[in-house]
Amino acid sequence: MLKLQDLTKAYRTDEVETVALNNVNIEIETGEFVAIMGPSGCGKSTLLNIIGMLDTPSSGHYFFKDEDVAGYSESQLGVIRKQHIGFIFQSFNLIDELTVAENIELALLYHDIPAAERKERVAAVMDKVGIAHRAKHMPSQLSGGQQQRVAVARAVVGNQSMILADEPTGNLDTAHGQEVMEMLQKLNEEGTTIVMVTHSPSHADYARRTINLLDGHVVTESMRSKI
Amino acid sequence: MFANYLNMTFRNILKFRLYSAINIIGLAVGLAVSILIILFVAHETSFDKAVKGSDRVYRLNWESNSSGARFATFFNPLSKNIAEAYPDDVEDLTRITLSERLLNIGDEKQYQTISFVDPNFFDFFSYKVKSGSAETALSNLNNAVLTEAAAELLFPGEDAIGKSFTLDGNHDFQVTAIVDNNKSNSHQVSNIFVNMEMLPVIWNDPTFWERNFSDQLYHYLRLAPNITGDVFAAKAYEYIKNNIGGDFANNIAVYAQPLNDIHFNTELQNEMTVKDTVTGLSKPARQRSDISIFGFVALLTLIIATFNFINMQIAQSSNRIKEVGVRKVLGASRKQIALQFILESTVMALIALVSSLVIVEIFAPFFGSMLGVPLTADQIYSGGFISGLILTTFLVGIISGFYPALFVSGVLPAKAIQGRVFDGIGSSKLRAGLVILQFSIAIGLISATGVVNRQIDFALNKPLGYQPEDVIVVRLNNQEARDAYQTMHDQLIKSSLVQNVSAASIIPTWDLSDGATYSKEGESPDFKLVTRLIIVADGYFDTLGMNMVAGRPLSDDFAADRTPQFSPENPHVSGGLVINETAAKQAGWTNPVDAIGQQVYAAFSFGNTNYRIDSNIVGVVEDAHFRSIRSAPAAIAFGLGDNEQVMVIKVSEGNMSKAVPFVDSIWQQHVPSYPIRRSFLEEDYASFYAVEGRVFRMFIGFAGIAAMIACIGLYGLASFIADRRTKEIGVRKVLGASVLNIVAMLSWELSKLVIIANIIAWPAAWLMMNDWLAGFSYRINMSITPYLIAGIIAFILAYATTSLRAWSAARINPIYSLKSE
Repeated sequence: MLKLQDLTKAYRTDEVETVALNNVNIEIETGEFVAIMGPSGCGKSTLLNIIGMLDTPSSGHYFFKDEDVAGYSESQLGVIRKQHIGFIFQSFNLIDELTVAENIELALLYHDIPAAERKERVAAVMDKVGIAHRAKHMPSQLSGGQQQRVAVARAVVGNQSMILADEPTGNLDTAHGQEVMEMLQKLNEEGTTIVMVTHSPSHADYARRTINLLDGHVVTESMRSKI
Repeated sequence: MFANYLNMTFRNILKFRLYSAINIIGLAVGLAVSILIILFVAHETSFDKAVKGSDRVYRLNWESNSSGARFATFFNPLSKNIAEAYPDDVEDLTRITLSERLLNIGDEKQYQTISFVDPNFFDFFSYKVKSGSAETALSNLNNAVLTEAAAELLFPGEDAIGKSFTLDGNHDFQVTAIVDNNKSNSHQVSNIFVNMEMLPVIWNDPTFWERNFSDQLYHYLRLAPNITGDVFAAKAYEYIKNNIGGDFANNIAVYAQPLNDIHFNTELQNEMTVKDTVTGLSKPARQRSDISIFGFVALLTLIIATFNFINMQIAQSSNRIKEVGVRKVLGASRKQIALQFILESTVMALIALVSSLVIVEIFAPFFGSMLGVPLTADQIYSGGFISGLILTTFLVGIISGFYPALFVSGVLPAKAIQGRVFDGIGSSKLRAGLVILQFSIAIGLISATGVVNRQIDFALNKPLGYQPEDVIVVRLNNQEARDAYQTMHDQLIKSSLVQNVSAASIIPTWDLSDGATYSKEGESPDFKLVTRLIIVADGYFDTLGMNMVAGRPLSDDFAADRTPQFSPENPHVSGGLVINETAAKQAGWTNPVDAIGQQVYAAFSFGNTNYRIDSNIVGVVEDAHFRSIRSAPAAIAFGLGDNEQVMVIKVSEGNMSKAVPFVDSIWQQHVPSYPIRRSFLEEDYASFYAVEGRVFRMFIGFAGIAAMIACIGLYGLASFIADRRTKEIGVRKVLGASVLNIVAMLSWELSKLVIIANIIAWPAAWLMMNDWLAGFSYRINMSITPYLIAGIIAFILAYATTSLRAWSAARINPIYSLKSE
């Protein structure tokens, strides 16, 4: 699916250069479920942002489906991103002024999909994540778990092949966190590639592989053998 | 997609209700004010433009070389001779004069202004014929033409065609045509027209067309396209010089006054009345500088409202950063984000436009009546006006959406998604520039308002030089009344209700139409005493409360004061003379006392007779403003004689209600054939100035509104700046800064900009106001006070709004403000 090669990300101010990612080499296969772990400031979110094409690397290569996107412009990245990548955030990032259904539909709006088809797909994905009865509600009327389910629905409604989740359970209690993880697992079983940043070892256990970062380096990679 | 944007727009407007309301109302009020002013300016500048070939239409004026006075009228018979002499230059000529006559319909008597016109008048001034035929209507000398308003007034509810009325009790006229009403933006105020050839008959003046020097008519010419007014005026003068010559030709100059100048010329003598007595509409001439100042205020208001809108949109965009992030993550391109912002601003601007049109609909009639101009909102929807408005609105929407669109859409999604308050939006220099500009305009407007207010107060409260209170004015508009003057005077003066009674050819508020040029025996030819002339009866100065500054008033107690009427049998007459201060100064008597006892004379020839009037100056009277307070008082000479056109009665205080019926009964008794034509000098005076005063009060109101809008925008900017510095504020607090420290810091930063704005605004406003004040002969001395006050107001507003916003920002617990990072 994707391959990072000698990838470095440095933030520069006038005098100081902060290296967030240093010579990272990672390969993720299609259909994998990968967890990225590490202490605060290790570069997890930066890595996820670059994988998600929300940010660009300072040097190195990023092959996405064999295409080196490292030097692409923001608008070029935008085109690839909207076709292939869905996002789930710790803070949900739903738009407060739009209803549940409209928030999900937003992901289809930028895809030139006819309105009728959009409605069908939104209805279908709401059923899938069990939020259909809340379609007309505003995000503020939902619990955190429900909001994250809407976010998951929004991430997958465009049939994205990869979902990037940045601490998707960080703002949720244990029960709701569990629920979201099960949903991700189900999506992975249906073939979606999932890359997830998390602090929780138990949630990392849902992934087949865990990448540990420290100070911008990949320190360990561990595979969990599935029973 | 579009639907989603619109949906989002409306939800955002609702979500930030207060903010949206302030922003939309600010723009709507600004637009409404601009539209109202523009309606007024457009109305005033469109005067007489509807006349066919209006840019080629001129009115002949003449100027007296000795007095410098210029007259709107021209010599009665000469225009026709001149037009006939230059057939290639003159396409058409038409003449008019207005005269108030007693009009009878059956037994009903009323005074009406009758217009004596050439039959081509209606075609010349592009009247629309409503019934009958205007071209042939006046072919018969006993035919009359009415406007629709006059037809309705004289023959309510009936078809006026074929109906008759009588003038002065013995001239019958039959209505043969009805034309449309005078446009509110035409200087014509006539409603009842009869043939000009009836003038000598009705005025009982058989030699009317024979006197080359009389100037009762207004003469309009439509010139050929290839000749200018100035060139034609020179030709006309040449004609007079060659065909009449003599002193007459030497003493005059001829002007061709462009038709479009008439509404903007406040300096002519003998000007046609501006009051339409049938519709009640008054069309006072305006100073061009007033109209430009109004236009300028409209423009500034529009600019302020637009800037305000832009500033508020920028401020608001920082609340949208997270949404933009989400949209970008979901695949929105930069273009799509920008489009959304522009769409939102445009929708809001359009809502403001619609609101402003509603405001204009509601206020246009009120505003119009305050200004004495019939304004209706209909004018907005005509022609280019509405398309211009819509275009402007779109521009405002696009520009104000463009700036946030440009910066918000350019923020990296990785940052945006974190809802981080972004630092990158626009340069702080640009923002500072906007604040400075907005404040400069506001300060300029406030200080201009202050200057206008002081000047208007000064002008309206300036001593007039006479006392209009408790004075009844009775027009002696017929021979019966003039003959009865002395009898009425004697009867009135006996009553305890009446303090004083007098009469004259002219009283204050009237046009100073007559003039005289005096010489002095043994003086150098440079001696100059060229005055307007008023013939008064005994007691004139006392009755009008005009104070003598030297000598004594004219009085019948001194037999030598009265100047008898000169005639071919009696060509040398003499009498006493009172002059005003301006006249005394003109003659070189700097101390008024020096004028007393001076002997002057006026000499002229007429027919084959040389006339000479010797005058002994017995007094100098205080200057009085007969006409506009804008112009300097004219030099005036007063002679005691018989030319009683108007009677003035000073009523003893508190007795007005009893005095009026008493005066009426005396009139009834002595002038039974004519109804009384009476008014109150105080009201005549007020109607003269009321409109002028109101126009400027309106200006002050509008400038105030514009300044308020500017302050709204300032609050928006203050909020924006405070928002953007939430983190800095948090850090400062953690490090020990007090709320006050922070408020002071933020306020000072904006206040610095206000100081710069003052530096820009003051000289600009000063120059503009200096120019405007130059139009007044009596004007306030420009002082720094209004500017200081404007500066202080702006400073306080800036300080208050920023402090208010900074206060709430500073009081946030740093835990929250720092978490936003």
